[in-house]
Amino acid sequence: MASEPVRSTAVIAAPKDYSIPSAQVIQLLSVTASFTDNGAASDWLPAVVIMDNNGNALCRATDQGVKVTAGSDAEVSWFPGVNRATSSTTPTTTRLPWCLAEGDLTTNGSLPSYFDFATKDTSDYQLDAGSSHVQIIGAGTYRVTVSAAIESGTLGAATVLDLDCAFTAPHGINYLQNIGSTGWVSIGHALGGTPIWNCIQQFVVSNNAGNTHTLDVSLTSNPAAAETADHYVEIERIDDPYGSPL
Amino acid sequence: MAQPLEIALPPDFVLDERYVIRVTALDPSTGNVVSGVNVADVTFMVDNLTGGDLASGSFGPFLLVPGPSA
Repeated sequence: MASEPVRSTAVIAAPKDYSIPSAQVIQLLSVTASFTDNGAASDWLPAVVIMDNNGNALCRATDQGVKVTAGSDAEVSWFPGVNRATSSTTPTTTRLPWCLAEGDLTTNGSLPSYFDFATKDTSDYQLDAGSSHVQIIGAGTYRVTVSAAIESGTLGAATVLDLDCAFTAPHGINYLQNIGSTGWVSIGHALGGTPIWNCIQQFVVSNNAGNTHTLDVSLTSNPAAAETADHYVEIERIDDPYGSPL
Repeated sequence: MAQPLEIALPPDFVLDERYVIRVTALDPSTGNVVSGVNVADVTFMVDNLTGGDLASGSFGPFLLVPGPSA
C-alpha cells in the first residue's frame, strides 16, 4: 500500500468535488485547499464534506471557530483527528492585596507618624487623615505584621519597652489568631556599639463586615526614655480576594 | 490575505468507490454553500488501499445521485 497525493489545480466555484474512481478504495490522510474570494456576500466556513455513493453526507469537517471574513482568501488543511488549537490566553498573575506603612514611633506614647504609605489596593487599605493610623477598610481576612526597631540612644539594662497594637472597629474586631510577639530583643550592635532593640508582632484579623478597622500602635518605655523607633506596618490580605472571606 | 487554518477530519475513514470528497464554503449559520468563493488547488494525501489509478477520479461539480430517502 502506498500513500500518494491526488491533486487538482482547476479553479472552480465552490463546491469542488472529487469522486473516487470505480473499484478504488482509499483512506484519507489529509486535505489541503486554497480558497479565493470571488465576491462572497457573507463570511464562510471552509469545509470538507464526505458523501457516500448516493450523495448522503457522512461528515462535515468544519469549525465555527474557523470563519473566513467575506472578501478574504484562505488556505486550509484538514488532518484526521487533529483539531484546531484554540487561541491561548495570557495568564494573569494575581497578588494578595497588600500595604506597607513606614514611620517614626517614639517612646513617649504619642501616635506614630507615617511618612510612607504604599498600596495598590485602595479598596482594602488607607491611611487616616492624620497619617498616624493604618486602616483596613475592605472585607476579608488579613495578616498584620507590626515592627519597631530602636537604633539609637542608650537604654538601661532594666528598661522595659512596650509595643501595643490593637484594632478598633465600629462593631468590634475579630482576632482570628494572635501569632505572637517576640518581645523586645537585642539583635546586635549598630555603629558605636549601640544595641538594636527590635520587636515584631503578628496577628490575623477578620473584617467580615467590611467595616473600617483602625490600627492603634503605641510605644512606651519604663523608665521613661526619649527614644525613637523605626516602625513598619505590613498587612497582607490572606483570604481569596475574589471570593468570600474566611 | 490567506488565512491558514487547520481543523479535523474523522480518523480511519475508509472511502469506497464513488464516494465523494467535497471541498466547499459553508454559511456559518445555515450550512448552505456560500456563492462567490472559488476553490483552486486541492490536494489530498491518501492511502491507496487497492493500488489502482486514483488520477482517473473525476474532479468538479457533478450531479449527485439522490439517495433512497431523497
